[in-house]
Amino acid sequence: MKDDNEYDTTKIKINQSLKLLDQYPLIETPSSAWFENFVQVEKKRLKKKLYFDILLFLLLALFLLIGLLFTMVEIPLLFVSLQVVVTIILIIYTGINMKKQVRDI
Amino acid sequence: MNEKEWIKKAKQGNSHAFASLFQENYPFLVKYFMKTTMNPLLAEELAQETMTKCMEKIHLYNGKAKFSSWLIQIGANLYMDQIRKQKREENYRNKEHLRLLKWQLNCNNEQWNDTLSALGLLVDDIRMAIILKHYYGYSYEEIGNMMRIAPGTVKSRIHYGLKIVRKELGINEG
Repeated sequence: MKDDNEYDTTKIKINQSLKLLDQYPLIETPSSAWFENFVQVEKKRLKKKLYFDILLFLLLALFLLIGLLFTMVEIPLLFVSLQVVVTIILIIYTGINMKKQVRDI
Repeated sequence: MNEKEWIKKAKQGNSHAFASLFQENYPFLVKYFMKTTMNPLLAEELAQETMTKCMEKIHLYNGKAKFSSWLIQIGANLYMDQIRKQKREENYRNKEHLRLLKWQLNCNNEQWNDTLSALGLLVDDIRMAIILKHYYGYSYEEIGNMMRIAPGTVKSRIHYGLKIVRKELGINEG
């Protein structure tokens, strides 16, 4: 790989050109009222999202718990098999994650 | 009131503090996105998404970096996510936006030049790496964190991008 210094002229050209975009005429900062309104709207939306996520989490947890209890009482063999399968998947997943380090271009 | 005090208040959920912080940093944020996306509409859209994300994550801001740098980091992550989602789509739309930007600059007596055209031809994440490094002065490690890639990959992307820009500008490899 060539040294970065060889590209100095190109870098200067790039920076000079990008400064043009800083002078882009159509960027206007909205009024403070717009920002106040934006924050209020987003706050409401985030609150709704949080409630929805909590509800979803609780329902999912309830569903899994009922399923597990049901298999444990009614089909113990399936319960044990599920425990084994989930443990194996977790080990494989952790192993893959530890190996994955570099992503290509 | 200074920025640190606004941040402290924003962490406590004060809406006015958020609004003040955003109003202060909005031009910087839009200009950053304008350079990385070269798309005025997307730049404003991403700036607003960044502000929303900032409201969600403000408790994670530790004050080590400048607040504007932290916003750029959030914005870079958002843009990377968008790039990954759009990779399957055609590049045509990007070129449309480039034409729009060129036209708008020309309409306002600003001169579009070959370097901007060359930058516009680059793949989004390569252009972003070049701008973060050579315009904003971030280190390879910092850019790697923002783009969620290894610093070595950042370096090779920048080198590759500069090579393309040089080729487009007709600068001979020495």
